[in-house]
Amino acid sequence: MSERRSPPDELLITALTSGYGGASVLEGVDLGPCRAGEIVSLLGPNAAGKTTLLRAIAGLQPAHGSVRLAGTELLDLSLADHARLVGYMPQSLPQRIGLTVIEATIGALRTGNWEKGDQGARSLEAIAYDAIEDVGIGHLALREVGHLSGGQRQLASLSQALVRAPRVLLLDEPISALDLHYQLRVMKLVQAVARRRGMIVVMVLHDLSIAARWSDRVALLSGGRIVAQGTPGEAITAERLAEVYRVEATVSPAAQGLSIVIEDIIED
Amino acid sequence: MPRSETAARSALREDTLRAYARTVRRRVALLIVLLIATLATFGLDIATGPSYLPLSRVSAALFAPASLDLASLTIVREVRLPMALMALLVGASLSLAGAEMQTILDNPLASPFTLGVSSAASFGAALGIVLGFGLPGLAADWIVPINAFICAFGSVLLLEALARSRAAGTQGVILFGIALVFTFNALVALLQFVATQESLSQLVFWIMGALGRSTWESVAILGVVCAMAFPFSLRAANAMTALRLGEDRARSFGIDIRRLRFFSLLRISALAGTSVAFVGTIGFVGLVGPHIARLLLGEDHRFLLPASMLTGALVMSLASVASKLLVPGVLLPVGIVTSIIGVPIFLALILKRPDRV
Ligand SMILES: Nc1ncnc2c1ncn2[C@@H]1O[C@H](COP(=O)(O)OP(=O)(O)OP(=O)(O)O)[C@@H](O)[C@H]1O
Ligand SMILES: [Mg+2]
Repeated sequence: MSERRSPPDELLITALTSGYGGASVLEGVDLGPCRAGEIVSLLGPNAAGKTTLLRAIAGLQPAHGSVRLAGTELLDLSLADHARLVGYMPQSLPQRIGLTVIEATIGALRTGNWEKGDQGARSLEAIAYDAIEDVGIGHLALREVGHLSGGQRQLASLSQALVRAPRVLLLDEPISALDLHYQLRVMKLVQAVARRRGMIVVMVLHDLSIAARWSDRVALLSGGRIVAQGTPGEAITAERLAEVYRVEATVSPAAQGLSIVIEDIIED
Repeated sequence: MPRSETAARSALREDTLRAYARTVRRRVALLIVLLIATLATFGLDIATGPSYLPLSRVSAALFAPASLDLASLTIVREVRLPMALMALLVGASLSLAGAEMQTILDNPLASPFTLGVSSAASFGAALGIVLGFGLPGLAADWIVPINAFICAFGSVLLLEALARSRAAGTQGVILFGIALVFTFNALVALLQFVATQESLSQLVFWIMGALGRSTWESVAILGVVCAMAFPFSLRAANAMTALRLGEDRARSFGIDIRRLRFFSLLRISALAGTSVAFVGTIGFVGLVGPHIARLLLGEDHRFLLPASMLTGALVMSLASVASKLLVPGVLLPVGIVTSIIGVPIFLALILKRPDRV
């Protein structure tokens, strides 16, 4: 896989607004700068606008404001140019897919809008297989996606996003259906790939401990606004969790990341 | 990592890539088999007919026309050949239209027939047959097909407008299509009610779907439509494969889904509208052709689309042969026979691979 160019990428989002029809969801989001090789986790309650934010960054829905990647304004790009720079893994995955895992991953490469980098000489099949093996499901490559378990399908979906080697990778709850082993495996893989390629990863997570352990930065989103961002230790505090999630928690530094214990919910 | 594990991994990698390459080769082989089967059935289609002609005369008509009497020559060259070609073209067109529809509307029940395109065409035809209603300045022969085409096209535009407006999801489009079926069927029934005896029998025959009125002219027109649509379908094949992974996902690959959908619906209306215009409503093949192709070759559209054309052509051609042989001496409307032939094939495949449908 290719090493990224210098100078390293930087992603900066300012005053981003977006919504559906008349209803606005994101009310001026400022996020970043996110640096090359970093993992940024988006946290926040249901309906906070996390998916909306990722889709807006991916160019999948109309948005105003600014999303800059190393001096390029992403919101001005066509969908095709956008797709070259930004990869996206959706939160919900279709059920009935008759393609095999490797066909689906090759399918992600056949549309042309991706940077081949120094892989020029390799066949699409080989590139696709390696992405599948990276996420740990080489043995499932020939199985139909529709026949996989929920977690396996999520891994197949991740390989479809990773394989295009984007400069910014957006992952919407990539480990929500995974068992403990694969949760860790995916986080390690994503971190390793981000570091190696200088890729910026923005991912939505619901597990605060995992976010604290693996993210370089976290951002808390609530009601369409970023209410806190910084290193996990800076952004995740008991007061913020009470405010954003309505839970009583104790947060203390741990050997890796934070130790977060949720005691109870706060009734209104 | 221990060495044995590394070895096992690279063995799995080699095996998988080889197996995938094998799958691709098997699909190409299957396409060739389908093509041969279709050509064989086409031959059989020309060789059979209500008027008894020995095989030697049929082949003479094709390859050594100078040596043959005019009657036999006319039967083979002006009746059987256009009919047999029309069967292939109609089957291929409807099946390709169905395959594209099922993918872009993300619904396995989509087909020109189930979404009202055929019903709309019937309505257009009925307007011409019963009320003599048609565009001014057209030759009488052309009023019915042109009416049918315009109505088919209009119904596809409605479907496309609905699919475009974010208001309705794919389920909404299907529901709307079903509403179209009922609406146009009711309108056709109304026209039947007021029709004269003579126009009624003409209309019923048309609605049943028949190849009998195929001419070289109509064959040429449908052939051109088919030949023009197919390369564009193939060019959209990779985008359609990606669309199977979900709309957001396909868009994140840089595919303009609206554009894909629009041009696909344009092809569908040309293919289905022209077919229905010439041979009437033939329902089953547009739904089942793509399913047979999918069961045999999977969902990679580079294979699925051409395979759908071949399975459609094959089913129609078989139906055409059967329509001549089922009741000796009588030419049954092929639309009826298509279902009779198609259903068993379809059921056999479903029972073999229930998950793929
Ligand atoms: N397609 C849509 N049409 C209209 N409103 C929508 C649509 N999708 C989301 N919304 C609304 O936008 C708001 C934010 O939704 P979003 O999906 O971004 O939340 P989220 O933070 O990703 O939540 P979750 O953790 O449940 O995935 C919600 O109030 C939701 O109702
Ligand atoms: Mg979400």
